[in-house]
Amino acid sequence: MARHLHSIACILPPDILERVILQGTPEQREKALRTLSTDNALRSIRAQNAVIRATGGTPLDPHVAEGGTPLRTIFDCAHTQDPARAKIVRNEGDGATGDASTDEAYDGLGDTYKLYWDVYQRDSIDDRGLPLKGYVHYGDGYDNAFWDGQEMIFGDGDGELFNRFTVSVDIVGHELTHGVTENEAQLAYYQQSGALNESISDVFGSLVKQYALGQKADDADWLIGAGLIAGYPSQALRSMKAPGTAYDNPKLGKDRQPGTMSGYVRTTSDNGGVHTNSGIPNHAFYLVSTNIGGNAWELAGRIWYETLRDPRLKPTAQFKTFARLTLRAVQRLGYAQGSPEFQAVQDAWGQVGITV
Amino acid sequence: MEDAPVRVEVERSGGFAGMVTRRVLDAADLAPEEAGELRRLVADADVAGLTQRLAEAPPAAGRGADRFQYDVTVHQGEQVHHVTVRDGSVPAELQPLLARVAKAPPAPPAGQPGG
Repeated sequence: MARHLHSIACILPPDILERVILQGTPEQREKALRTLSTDNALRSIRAQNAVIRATGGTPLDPHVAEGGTPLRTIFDCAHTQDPARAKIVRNEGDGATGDASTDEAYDGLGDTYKLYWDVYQRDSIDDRGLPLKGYVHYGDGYDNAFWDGQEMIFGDGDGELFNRFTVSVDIVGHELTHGVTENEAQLAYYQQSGALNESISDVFGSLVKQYALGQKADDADWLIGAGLIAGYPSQALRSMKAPGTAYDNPKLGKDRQPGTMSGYVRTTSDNGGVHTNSGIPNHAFYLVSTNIGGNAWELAGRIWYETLRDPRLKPTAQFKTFARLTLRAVQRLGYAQGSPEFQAVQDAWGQVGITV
Repeated sequence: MEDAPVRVEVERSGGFAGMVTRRVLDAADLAPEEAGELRRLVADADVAGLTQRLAEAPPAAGRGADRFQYDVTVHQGEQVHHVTVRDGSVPAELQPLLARVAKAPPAPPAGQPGG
């Protein structure tokens, strides 16, 4: 029952709030009661902001303390592929369970929530406090993690090719960011728009890791899925700094990601190569971050975040459109054409073969 | 009809890691009972009909990301049928065949020895 309850921070009709209070977990009950006693102005501001955002205006600044804490639940699929039957193993506020996947998913969701809230003032996936659900131990030796449209699902890996998919916080951030993208630009998951979608998940996944570690752009490893490949702990799935160098081993072969448009792969596999061609915008983001310097989440991440939320970024956007919109974003943030920051963005795209 | 050649190739791509693996099951390489099972699974999957049905009513652009994609090619005698499906929206009639092929060891990419 508790699993079907949606965001308590949304405006809920009284009967649902009542059900939460009567039947929810102690955590959910407490939050529901807090919500009831919270200033109603907050909820109407959130509702207003949703409408304003949808019509392209500038949202109001709520000036309230609500929001800012995640509502996490971790479910154990017990090696089935049936999330509907999964049991809750960790609720928000519970201590570590000792199960690595459970605790890594829990911490990863927390770190991801924290990046989005602290840096971008975004309250969870939908910016309205959507509860974060992670499902672990999905399947038997399942070599994957994915976003199913509502929740994040993590396999254990087969142990031969891959370790468990919660092993690196950027993986959790990557999956959760798919939810953010679905709530914003809704980039269609094939070909160039899909590669952008994938890249945005790698970008913010990497930023989750960098923010948690307090790293400057120059000190980060810019790797996605480091430690995921069984037997090769220093290798990773993708490198934003040097696409095509993340892994090279007899089990998986060699990383084939391109870092520039000259290496763009046309294929029907993988929805048109979305995990391959993401290397190009990934590398652009790395270049912007290191061209500007400092912490990547501050300006570079803000440019990308504002671009993602730009109503001009359509679901079928191509790389070039996205690049143009990052230039608009950096200008909107106060850095005019000709400024070092604007130049950093323009140069980065030029270096990966996209002239804007 | 019972002895008609049957060969199923499944290329799995996508997923978070973006890897591509290929698996092949050929009735000619299987013991009689397993070959019979494969023919039954292929018949039940009705890939020819599936291709038609998916063309007429494509699944709604699914939500979700990092799911596996399966490119399924079925050779039945002279006929070749192909269908592409994704985890989360695999038609029920195709699932048992996919599950059976998933048990085969990975094969080299098409065009290479053993592929």
